[in-house]
Amino acid sequence: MTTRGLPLLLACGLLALALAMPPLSWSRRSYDFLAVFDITQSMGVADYRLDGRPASRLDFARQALREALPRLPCGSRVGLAAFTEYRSLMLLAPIEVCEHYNDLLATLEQLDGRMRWADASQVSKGVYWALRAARDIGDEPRLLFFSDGHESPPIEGEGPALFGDITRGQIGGLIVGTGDLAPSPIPKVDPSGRSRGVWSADEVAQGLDPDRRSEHLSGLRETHLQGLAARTGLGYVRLEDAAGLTAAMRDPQLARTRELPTDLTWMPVALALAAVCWPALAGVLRARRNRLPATTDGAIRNRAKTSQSHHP
Amino acid sequence: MIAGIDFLRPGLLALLPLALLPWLARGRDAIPYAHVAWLPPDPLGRAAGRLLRALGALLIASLVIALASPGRPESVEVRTGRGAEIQLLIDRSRSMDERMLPSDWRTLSPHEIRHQTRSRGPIKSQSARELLSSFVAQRPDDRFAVSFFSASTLHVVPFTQHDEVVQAGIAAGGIHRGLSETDVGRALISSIARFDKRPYSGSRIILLVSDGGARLDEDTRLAIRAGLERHRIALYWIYLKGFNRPDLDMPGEASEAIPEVALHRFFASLPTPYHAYQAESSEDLAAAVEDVGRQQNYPLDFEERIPRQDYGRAFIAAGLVLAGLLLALGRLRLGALA
Repeated sequence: MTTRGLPLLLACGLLALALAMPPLSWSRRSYDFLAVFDITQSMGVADYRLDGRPASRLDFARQALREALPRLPCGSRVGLAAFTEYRSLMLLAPIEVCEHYNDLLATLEQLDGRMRWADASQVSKGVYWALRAARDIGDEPRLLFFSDGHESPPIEGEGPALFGDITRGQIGGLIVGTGDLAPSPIPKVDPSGRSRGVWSADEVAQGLDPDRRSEHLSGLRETHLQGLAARTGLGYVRLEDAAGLTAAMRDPQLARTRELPTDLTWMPVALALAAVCWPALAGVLRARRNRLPATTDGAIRNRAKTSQSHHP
Repeated sequence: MIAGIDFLRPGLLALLPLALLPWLARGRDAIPYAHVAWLPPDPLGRAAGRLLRALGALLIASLVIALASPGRPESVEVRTGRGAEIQLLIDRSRSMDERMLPSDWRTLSPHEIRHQTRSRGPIKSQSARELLSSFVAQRPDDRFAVSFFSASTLHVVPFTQHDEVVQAGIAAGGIHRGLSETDVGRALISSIARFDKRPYSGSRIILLVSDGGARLDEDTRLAIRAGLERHRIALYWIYLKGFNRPDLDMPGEASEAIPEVALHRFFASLPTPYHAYQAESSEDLAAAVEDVGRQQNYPLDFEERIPRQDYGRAFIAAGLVLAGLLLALGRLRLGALA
């Protein structure tokens, strides 16, 4: 066998292997999340901007998740839940993001204030219930809790303690602080979804301190959410844009490795390509390095080779 | 680019110029001969050389294309099958967490039943979910939407044919206890609205799964009646009757005061098709679900998803053939020259 035939023979073998090999199981990193959206009225405050227009906290959070989903590796699973009153209610058990991307978007599209089954907003309990939901749905997805931290009625002190049946850090994940730090009036929406102006100071439950009657205004209550995160063992991140959310979600600490069938056919094909190209590529490179036109004249070539060896 | 073909790794097509390599590189196996010009012209040899280069170029190109993973993108074909568009409307109130009659309830005395339904027997919402889940799994041609209701209506999954998503919606309903209030009238109106702007493509059903009734006000009744008629929707009510709860067909004027009976009578007065199934045990429930399945098998246009077809293997195979050919030709040629 001549050396010329060797790369071709190698390529034949590799290509035959590529055609014959089954998909292999490969452990790969993926991310499972239960995304919970606060759908209480304060999430209707439009203190974000989307495409140059004011956007509500809820719309912005949904858009950020929409953009983050395709950036999760295939095999990742995402479920959806809504928080209002004192509970996070599971809406969709986690499903695989690549295959069901459009279905996830369709469900996300409907997740809004019209689902609100009651009007209170006990965020701490909402987070605890969300932890329970993540624990009970199976496979323990990480939590992704979008909220502005606005408690209504207001809490005194730290608020309710973590439920006894959950330990701190049992479920990992993130609280995603949604909204601007500067307080804004809260749009009032009736059960049928019609806008009814904004909430006034007399219409909402105020705190015990008569000098601090500001519960009708809502800004991102970051210290409260950070405290909540510390108490539950979750991480905290402020929602600024989709890229930031994606980066926070793709934290290796939140990843899980999973055996996924992986098509590795490209490997032998790439090697075959390299084997086929290499002799010709080497020839071209050699000819260029010698700054001589490629030639069939062996004598010149040999001379070029000897002269090349004097150069460093 | 050819219409209807896409690449999973289009960036790798940038390697296509590699196919020029066989034309750039001169033969390494050239025979040292100082006076080329003296050689007689060899048109056959020249042609053979061009052929080898062309084959080599094709080989490299097909491997690069194979690596870029070409294929026909996922597409949707409209077919006509038999089935229905079924909107599942499931009660998520607290009472759905109560138990149904145990399977051996016929052998028990009323006294025993009263005491044992608190501790034995399947939980209403759970058996409803299990049966709906297998119902969905058995009917791949139907389109399903999943909604739950309490005081508000939670539309979870819009009409889809993707079984897994419907199952994920049904499964989510099983996490934690129900909500406190129910508003079946509002839930029905907003479920009817889900058919707005949907082209009529076959039989339409709202499958209400609930254990309680309601006395609806006149406006709500009118809205439900008009909506069902406008969209030609059949209403099926699987009534999960709790122990000591009234029968739907309880006669008499006075029973109009019972919310379940009132709701049933209103539904029965509708001009659109209506069926009620009263289920006390999970056997009744299974029979009801089965009957719904039998009732609605009319032609339905449905979309079938044709998964992406990968053509990569065809290019690998072509590469294999080309490489084999080159190998054989190269030996022939060298053999002839030797």
